[in-house]
Amino acid sequence: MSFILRSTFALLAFAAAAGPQLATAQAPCKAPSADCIAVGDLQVSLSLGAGTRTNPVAGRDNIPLFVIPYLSYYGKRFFLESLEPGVTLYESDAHTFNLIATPGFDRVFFSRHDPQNILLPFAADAPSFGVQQEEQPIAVPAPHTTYLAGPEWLFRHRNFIGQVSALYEVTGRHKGYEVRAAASAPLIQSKQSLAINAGVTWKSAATVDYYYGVQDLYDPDSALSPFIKLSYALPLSERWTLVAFLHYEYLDSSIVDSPIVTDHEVVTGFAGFNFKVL
Amino acid sequence: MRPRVCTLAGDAATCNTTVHAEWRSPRNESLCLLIVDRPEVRRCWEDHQQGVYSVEVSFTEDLVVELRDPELDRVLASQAIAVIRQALLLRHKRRPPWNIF
Repeated sequence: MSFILRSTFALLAFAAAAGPQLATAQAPCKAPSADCIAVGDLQVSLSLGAGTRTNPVAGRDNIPLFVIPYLSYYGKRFFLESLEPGVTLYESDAHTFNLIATPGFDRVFFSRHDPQNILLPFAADAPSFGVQQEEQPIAVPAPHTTYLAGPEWLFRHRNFIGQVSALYEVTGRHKGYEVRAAASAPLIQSKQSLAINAGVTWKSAATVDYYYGVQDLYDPDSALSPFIKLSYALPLSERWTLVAFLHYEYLDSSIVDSPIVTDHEVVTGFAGFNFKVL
Repeated sequence: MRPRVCTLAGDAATCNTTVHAEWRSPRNESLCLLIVDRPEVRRCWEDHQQGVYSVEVSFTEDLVVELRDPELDRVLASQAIAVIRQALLLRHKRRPPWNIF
């Protein structure tokens, strides 16, 4: 049985066991909002501001963030959130089961032109040789864009939202796995909102090796990297919202021990204004 | 009279439409056509057997159109344009924290 099928059944079984304890559902959607969208509604927005994403790869510049587009469409079953398409298998106020596809994240550190790096078009790529190891230059790899696919389970309990996804690389580059788990809770819920997210990302050895391995020199294990994120929003008008976020990820030693990695963490921050186009 | 129904989709709050009203009688009539609570909308006919009237209106609740005598004392006929709000089907958005927003 394929990984996607096995992990789908595993998540369903876990949800069935844990479901009754989580059965106090979040309030149902009653109107379009930041958390609820009308079926068939296309939302397009653009965030304009200033931010950066630090780059743990040796010899690579930090990634500036100036213009961040966002697209969201939810049909009855199909949905698309920017670069992530998916299909909803089941949805209630307490639980949602989706099948999703999502781009492999780590390529953003190697290519400025990765679709997940949204920046002004004049930014140039850094050179591909940037690491010196005992006077022998090590070629920083140029990984391809990859897509991972698999099941996703979201569960809602009052204001708390948890999500778990089990993903497999389906574009044939490394055939590795990723498991993502996170929880979010609101800290401020008034005209302005402040939410905290915390979670972990587990990457299989094959995934870590594709990005951070060095042939004949470094053969990594799997990696478990935790993160925490704060997100702030203050609507200013019907179309304009002040937005800011800070995301901190602590990289597993399996990634950091790679000779092409020089930082133990990735910090992403942005502050600006979001304009609702549609 | 048309339309008979105005459907509000999504988060639309107001119906904006042109009301077409038409009356006929086998004998000459003197009467006025008006819209309830819209004093600016009134059209009167004297010794006519038929009449047609069109007017652009905006409304958020059911609109009642009446035919009355010239003194506006008696209601001879009335019809309503119903406002129906289309039920929105809503879903929770995902908002995964790995994404920027």
